[in-house]
Amino acid sequence: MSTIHDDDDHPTHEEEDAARALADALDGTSQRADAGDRRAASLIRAASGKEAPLGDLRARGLARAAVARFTAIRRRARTWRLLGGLAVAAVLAIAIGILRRSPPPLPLALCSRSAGMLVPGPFPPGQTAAARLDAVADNRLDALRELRLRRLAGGRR
Amino acid sequence: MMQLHKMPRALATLLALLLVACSARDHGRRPVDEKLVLTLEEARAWQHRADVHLADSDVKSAIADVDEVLRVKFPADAREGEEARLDAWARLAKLRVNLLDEAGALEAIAKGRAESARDSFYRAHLETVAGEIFEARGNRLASTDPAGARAAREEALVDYGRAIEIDRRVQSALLEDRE
Repeated sequence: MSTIHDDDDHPTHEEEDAARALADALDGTSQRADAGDRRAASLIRAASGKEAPLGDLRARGLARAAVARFTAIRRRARTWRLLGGLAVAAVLAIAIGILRRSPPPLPLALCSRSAGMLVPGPFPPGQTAAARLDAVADNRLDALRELRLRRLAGGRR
Repeated sequence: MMQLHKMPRALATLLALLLVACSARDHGRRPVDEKLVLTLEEARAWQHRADVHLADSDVKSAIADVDEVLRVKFPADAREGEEARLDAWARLAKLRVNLLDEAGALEAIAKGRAESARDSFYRAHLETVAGEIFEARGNRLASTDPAGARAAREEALVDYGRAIEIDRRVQSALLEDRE
């Protein structure tokens, strides 16, 4: 069965003790306030914008830690930016080097391809498969010789 | 500003793009090389052997020679190799017809069709040979089986038509390349 409290009644001794403990906790002077009182006091102070002021030492410590953390982050970011820039520059230098060194594309005549007009169709009835292969193989052999000559000429330069 | 942890990925992407750009300078062309020439030389030697055997009316040996062309390991992406094989399938079909092996001839045509990936004069030639096989069948059946002969001639017309279409496409593509 629950007890009905009347607001007009005088506080009990327990209520007076509890109120005193909470008031002490709000002052921040109480040694006897329990964890619940301290937490309630902290919430009340925070809600009213009257958080207990930091001590000078603690405040300086927090500020120093924040500055140190920010400085470290900025230094790391700068290092990464520098490394990234260097890497991009290196990649570009390599690519430009490759592009400048690579020879111009080979003429089609020196590349593997369909026989095309070398053996134009429709094939005449008298033309044999051997004759067609003669034309293609001779042409590709010429291309290979030309490529070798080009390589030799390029090597001498 | 770019987030720091994304920088290595961005660099890798940049590098990959540059490498692709560099490799694209070759325009996908494959220079003629020793392997291509050697395989073409081997194939032509087999085809000439077949000619020599045929000069002695030795069709079976000629077939064995052309079979060897189909065993030559041409470079995988060489058009010349693909075309040499198509020509070998076509010749094989003709030689089998000489031995009255029409089924073997049509099998060779089917195998050639199956491995041809694109239009070429050689692909058209394969269709021409298919047409010749059906035309010959039509002539053979004309006196004994008129309906069978008609069907064979219709099949021959389809194959010849296919050959003409392919030849036209190849010719116009070659002319466009020249312009």
